[in-house]
Amino acid sequence: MDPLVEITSLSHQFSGQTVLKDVSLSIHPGEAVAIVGRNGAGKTTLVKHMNGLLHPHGGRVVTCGLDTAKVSVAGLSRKAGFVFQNPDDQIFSRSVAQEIAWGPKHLGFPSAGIQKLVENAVAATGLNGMEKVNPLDLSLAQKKMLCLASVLAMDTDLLVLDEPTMGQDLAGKQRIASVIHKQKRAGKTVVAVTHDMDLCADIFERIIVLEKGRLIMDGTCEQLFSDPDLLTRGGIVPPQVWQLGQKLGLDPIPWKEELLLEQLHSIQTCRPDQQS
Amino acid sequence: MAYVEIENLSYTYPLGESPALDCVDLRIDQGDFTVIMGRDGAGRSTLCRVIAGLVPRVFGGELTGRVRIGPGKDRVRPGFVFDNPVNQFSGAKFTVAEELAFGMENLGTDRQTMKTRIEEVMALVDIKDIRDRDPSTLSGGQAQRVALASILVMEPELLVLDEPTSQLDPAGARDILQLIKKVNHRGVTIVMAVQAMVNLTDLVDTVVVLDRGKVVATGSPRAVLTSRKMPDHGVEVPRVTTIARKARAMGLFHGDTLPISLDGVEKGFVNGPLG
Repeated sequence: MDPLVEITSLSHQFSGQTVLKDVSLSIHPGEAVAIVGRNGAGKTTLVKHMNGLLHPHGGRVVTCGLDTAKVSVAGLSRKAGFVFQNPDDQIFSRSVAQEIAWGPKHLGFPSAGIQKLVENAVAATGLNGMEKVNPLDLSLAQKKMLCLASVLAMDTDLLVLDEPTMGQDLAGKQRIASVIHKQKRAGKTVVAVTHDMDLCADIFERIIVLEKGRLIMDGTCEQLFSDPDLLTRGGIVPPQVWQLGQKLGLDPIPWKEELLLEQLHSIQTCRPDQQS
Repeated sequence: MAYVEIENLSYTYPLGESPALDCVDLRIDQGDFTVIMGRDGAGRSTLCRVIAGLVPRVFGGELTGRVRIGPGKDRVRPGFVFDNPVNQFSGAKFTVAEELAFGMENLGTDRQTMKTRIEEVMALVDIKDIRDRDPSTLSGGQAQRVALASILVMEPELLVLDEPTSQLDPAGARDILQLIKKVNHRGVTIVMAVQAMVNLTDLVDTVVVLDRGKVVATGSPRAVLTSRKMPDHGVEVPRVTTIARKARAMGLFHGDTLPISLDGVEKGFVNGPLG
């Protein structure tokens, strides 16, 4: 299967400062990939290349078969949806419903279908009852949900999320996890820049770590959490589930709550004092 | 006498249909480190704005009740760190170092003191390497550090922070929280709105929980975070607490109290030293 995103030797500079250096990676349809690393590591810069918001200073980026340097952002937006880290960079309409409808409308979706897409996006992001509200009156967390809804309504093959759980409360984080799960089940490809290691452990089967603009790991949560050097270089603190499993001496160390409880249960039932 | 005293405070934003804060009573002692928790829309940011003096002065709206900040008649000048750093930047400065100077320039601080404080705080917050960058080109995490630094240089007696680490990487967030604790050790009273208590349980004196504008819980981190009611109020309790609670129900945790951090957490679990 051809990759949905193919990045080859990508480099990028801001004001003469190198922010991405010789990054190569492929993302295949249906994958869920988290991009992690310290602030300033180049995470947002990398994902902005995936939908052509930035053009390579070196190397090549091909998204959905299109060379991002040769097509417009508008041309790519039908294939790749992008949810900004700062919602104020994205929102401009006068009502929640108008904001969500803007994307599909300008992509030329039939008007009969747009209403349904808006309704689905509103339901997925919990914005029910707020359709007529001015986005400026929303909280930061609600604005982030609105940005997600606006991109969901465009029904793109690739969904790029920059810090999706930032500013979200517990219910918001659970809702975002559920949206990503549903996208995965629907065969969509999801790429998220995140500092949320619980989200990584719960949802993403593939983790990419950047350090000072270079790709230093492309693997699993387990590989990342069990490598102290990578954790330090990536500014990463493993989730509490992992740290607890480590403290309890569990082998293998679990990174999901249910796995940890299962392992503890097995230890309990295998203890001599529990056997008759 | 409490340092921050709020009595029967209600507040509604100019276009708000319901009060953002509803009959709030709160006392904070001088030198305390208090965090405000609660679900989105609970009133955390609004309470921060009240304590920082921005509500109703800047935001307008209707406030009833009583708010007193500081020990005497002179009002304390608080420092306020916004949740979105971009909203905090002056927009009038072209380098990080100049942005740090902006507040002090407006307070009439002398030039030598300004230079000394800028160098000290840039080292403290670890932003020396971006001193010449345009604030508008910073990453979210870098911007959040600069926003905090631009307030610390003014040496506030009361520091109010609205989600100061939401955009930081986990290691950076841990460092910044330790830094805020260091500032607190110098006698600065801290009030901070947060979504989660990761890396905070050992640093904080008091947790205040808001729900729909009302104070629904106040107490030590342990008392509040181990309360069964917290999930109903949308409060994100530490994962280790929820795991221990589930493990207890399955007969896999026998500790007297539920853990709220990883320190000594192995005691009480089925394969731990006291299991």
